[in-house]
Amino acid sequence: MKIKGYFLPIEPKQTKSLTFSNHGQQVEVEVPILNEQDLKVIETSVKESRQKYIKQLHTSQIIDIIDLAVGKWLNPNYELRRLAEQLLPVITGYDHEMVRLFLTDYLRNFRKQKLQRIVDEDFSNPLVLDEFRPAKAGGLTRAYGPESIIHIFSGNVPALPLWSLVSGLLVKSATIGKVSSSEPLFITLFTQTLAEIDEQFAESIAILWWKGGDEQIERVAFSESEAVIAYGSEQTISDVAKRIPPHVRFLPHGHKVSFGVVTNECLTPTLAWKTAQLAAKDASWFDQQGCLSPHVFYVERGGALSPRDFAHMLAHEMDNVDHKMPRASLSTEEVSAIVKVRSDIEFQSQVDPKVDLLTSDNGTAWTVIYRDHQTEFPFSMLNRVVTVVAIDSVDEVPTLTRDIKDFVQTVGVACPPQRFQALIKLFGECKANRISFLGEMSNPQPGWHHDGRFNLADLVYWCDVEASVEVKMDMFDPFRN
Amino acid sequence: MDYSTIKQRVKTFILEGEQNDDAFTEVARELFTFQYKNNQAYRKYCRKRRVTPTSVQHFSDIPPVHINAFKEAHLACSSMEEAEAMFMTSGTTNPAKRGKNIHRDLEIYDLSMTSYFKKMMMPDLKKIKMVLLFPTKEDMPNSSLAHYLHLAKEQFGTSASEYVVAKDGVDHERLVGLLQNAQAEDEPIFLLGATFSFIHFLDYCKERGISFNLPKGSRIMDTGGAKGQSREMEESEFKTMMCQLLSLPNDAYGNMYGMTELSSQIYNQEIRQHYLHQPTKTTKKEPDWMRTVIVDPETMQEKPEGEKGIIVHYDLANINSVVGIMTEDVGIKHGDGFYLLGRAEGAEAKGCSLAVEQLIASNRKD
Repeated sequence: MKIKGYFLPIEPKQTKSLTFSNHGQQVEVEVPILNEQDLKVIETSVKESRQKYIKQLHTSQIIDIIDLAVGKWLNPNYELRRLAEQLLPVITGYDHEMVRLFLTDYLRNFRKQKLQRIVDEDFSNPLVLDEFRPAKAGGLTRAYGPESIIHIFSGNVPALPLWSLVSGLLVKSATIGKVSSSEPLFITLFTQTLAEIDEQFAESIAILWWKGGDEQIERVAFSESEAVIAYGSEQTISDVAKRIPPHVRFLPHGHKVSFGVVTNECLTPTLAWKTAQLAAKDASWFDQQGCLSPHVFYVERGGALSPRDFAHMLAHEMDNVDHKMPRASLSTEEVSAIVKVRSDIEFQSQVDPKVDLLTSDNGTAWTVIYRDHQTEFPFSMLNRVVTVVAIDSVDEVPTLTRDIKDFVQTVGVACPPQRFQALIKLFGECKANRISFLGEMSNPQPGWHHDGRFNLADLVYWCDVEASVEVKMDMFDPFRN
Repeated sequence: MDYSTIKQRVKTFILEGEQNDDAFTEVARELFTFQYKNNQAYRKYCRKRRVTPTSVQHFSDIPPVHINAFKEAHLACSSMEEAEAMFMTSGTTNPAKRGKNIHRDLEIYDLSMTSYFKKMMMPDLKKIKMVLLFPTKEDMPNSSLAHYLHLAKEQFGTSASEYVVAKDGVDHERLVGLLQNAQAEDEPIFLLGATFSFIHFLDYCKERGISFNLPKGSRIMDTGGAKGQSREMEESEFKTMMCQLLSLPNDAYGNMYGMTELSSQIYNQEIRQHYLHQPTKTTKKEPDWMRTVIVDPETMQEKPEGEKGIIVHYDLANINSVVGIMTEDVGIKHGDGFYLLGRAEGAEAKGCSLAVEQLIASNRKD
């Protein structure tokens, strides 16, 4: 099957196919081959469309358009939704059921009231995006989004680029979205839906592709836009940063690390199973490919059950998830990395009773490593490999995670209300920028401060009209008394 | 079966030459039985997989051990005290954790090395003047490569053979002198060393605009590769550049693929084929007492010919540790040999080449 992986105001002269095979099926996604000249034409076109249309809309109207599109996507019978459910597993290798459940959960975050919340989170008076409004300190103020934004989307988790796309649209910017070679489809389909609803609206969006790191193309692209939002590895981010002119605003989202914490109150016979279930969900969801997925669970001693018991329960639940939603099939290299770590741990556990290795029966589907004591942060090689580290008290967590302090994203907690206040204070100081309950690590609320920053407020520039204008202009009023 | 009996069995097998899989399996089973009995860490590993000497029907039923396990466990059938040699990996990532292959004695290692080196690198000659771009075994007593090269020089090098390593790495001036000398006297010369030393030498000659025209019969052999180094180079590019520098034909280039955790080596086949006037095969080939299998690491089943997988070696010469080793190398089976595609990405960098780079780096610090 062949499908278009771009949305452009011009027909590309040349395209190439990215081929994906998974679950015994194959799909070819056609992406455009563009030169610098093509890119300039595209950037001019989306900017002109933006000037004519999207810039004139009120934010509430933009919200309505996106809400309509999301409404269509939440209908399981909608043609493009069905296509996405069919093809995304083939493109990414992820389990069908996981993709289906995720699309629904994720898209619900973009309904009208959620979009309003995203805007309200960043602007105490959202009308500043539409017109000059009175400022609290006197005078007037208005927020303008960039004329155009370049988005460098990542492909690790499907549909994730929607955050970025929507943020740009809410501040009325033209969009140049570069899809990832590993998942070029979803955002193209969603843009098609926007075009179905309002063709003129979608004319300010271009979804395209170039080979990541293509220096010439990137220089042209970045110099023609006002802002660049990029997702990717430290390497990608630093490469992109080098090519962005100083006057262009850069919003990087490099790789981040997440972990979970379980307090000893959760280790009673009944609660422990529930906790393990939630932990297994977090550690299996999208095979840990997202930054929100845990590498390790720190589990407190002193409960009715021990952290080691918890590791065994987690292993059991990982196995359950594997039966319902099997992991994607991996490359030789990825499997080899898991085989290696398993071998290391197995031989360590032969001589060290404080280490345990729990694995799926056949193959490398999931791996739980238990450590009675561990000072270094145990990075996972992902793909459902997770460590359980026993701790005496949650107070140890800031020390244990000190090395990754600048990269912490989500801390998933399982705790009773009595511990809540102390815990959030502790993890805030670990530089976590999101604390969720276990089981919810991969599903952030709309409006969360992605990577600890504002979503929309970081994109806009402000124009303040000082009170002096209001006051002094009266002196120049031809109708003055 | 005791150590001397199993050693004798392996020795006979090596000396008898080409043998089929059944014969290989027979000795492999005996060796596995010996190792299962005497190698405690390995026995536990096999028990966990419910494999015992009686359950092994074919050599591929023997559980291979991951190469990295040599860093984690004492994988030997004897204690360190009764070992003649302990070869260690370079430990580039973590110097505190170096892989150890403990050899009770080196009789089989040496027999394996000399038999196959002769066959693959010296099919036409008894001796040749050797120049070695690597530290001596006295300088690096735990390096299997240092021992290997020492053996090559002792067995196949003329008395004029020499090491060209100075305190700060390869002595380039001396090497240039030796090459010019060989050229002037029309005496074939054999350069052996770590890939990285050759790359340094390439750079040295390029800067000075030097090149050579080595006499017929000259050859080179590198090992270790140049991946993950400060300067990376593909094997084919390296081969072309070295042959150009020395004015050697492509079939004078040998590459040895070996590792501390094994007791045998694997070579490319061009030199042998050239001297025996055989059709050219570009694959690497293991000796008769070894089987290289390409497996799917997910299922541990052998991959069909032409499909990429992880390389597993069964090496009968590895008598004192384990017969089966799972590497981190990616390869493809082709005919009776295989292609090495490189290390699985993300896997830890290792290699003998680094020994020299480290030596250079540490001496420069002084």
